[in-house]
Amino acid sequence: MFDLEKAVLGWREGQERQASLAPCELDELEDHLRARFDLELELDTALAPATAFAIARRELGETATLSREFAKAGRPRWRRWLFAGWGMYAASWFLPVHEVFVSTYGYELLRELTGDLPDAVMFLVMNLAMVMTVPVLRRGRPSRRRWLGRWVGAVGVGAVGLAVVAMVWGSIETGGVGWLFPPPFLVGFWTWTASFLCVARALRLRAKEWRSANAGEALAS
Amino acid sequence: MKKPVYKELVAASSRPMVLSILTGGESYGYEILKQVKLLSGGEVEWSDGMLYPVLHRLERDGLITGRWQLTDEGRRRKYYRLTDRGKGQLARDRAGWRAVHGALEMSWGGGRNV
Repeated sequence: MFDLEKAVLGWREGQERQASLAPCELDELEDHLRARFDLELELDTALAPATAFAIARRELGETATLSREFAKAGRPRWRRWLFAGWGMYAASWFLPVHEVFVSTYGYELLRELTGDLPDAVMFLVMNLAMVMTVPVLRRGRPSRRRWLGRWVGAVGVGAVGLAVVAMVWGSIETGGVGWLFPPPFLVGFWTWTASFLCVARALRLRAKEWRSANAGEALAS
Repeated sequence: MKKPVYKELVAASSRPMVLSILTGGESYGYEILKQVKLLSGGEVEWSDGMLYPVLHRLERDGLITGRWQLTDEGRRRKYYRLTDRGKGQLARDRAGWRAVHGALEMSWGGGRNV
């Protein structure tokens, strides 16, 4: 027995997996899919619902083509994430990062690092990931290298993890919740961390779009 | 048989077509697609999914504006309407297409007017 809701859900999940379409774009396409399904059944009452759905789905177009056309029509979603991420990254250097006795600003960390080689290397490795996304930002070129997105994402997730561990550990050490409240990591640190997560998301969406576009070109050729 | 209105022509006429349809009032994707088919007597065929990127581009350019509304069946549907900027663009598009149409008509009138 054909279940329309299940079929629509399956279609939607497939789109979410393969295409870089925004939820509101999918909502609109879903409405169209349902309307087309109703029309097919109206035109031919003997048509099996599963066949009507297959026709509606085919008429709507391939996932790859839809994704490519939507990307052409407007500023792609990945670009918004990328610019937001870079905006936050730039801002984080001018915001207070942490506070032990006094607030330390992002740019002040650079001065502090000169005397400590391991810290300087770690700092460089983390920020290098972001710097390497500059070509994507400048030319809007897709990055086929998945490792860059993973590296940027790992820095973001790792920073959150380290901050939480440091805060909890600090609280255990002091025997209270002194490290948790007020937190030693300030807005600059969280902005810096969020910027990595945003850029990682952008690279992931861009890679998805690139794959979709290429799949579409392969179909067309 | 090859379609008389080929895809480049369909693409070029998509903006004035959508804007013209929306002069009749608010409408949504599926309804616009039906109107295109009806107005062209089936000669102009748009693939279903391709309409939405066009609508989004027009919305981004401020020529149309969209709003979400719930249908009687409880589904979310996006309705589009023409903006003042869209009306201005349509007037320019209409003048341009008329000029092209006029020139072609003249040139096809036996070459006497060329």
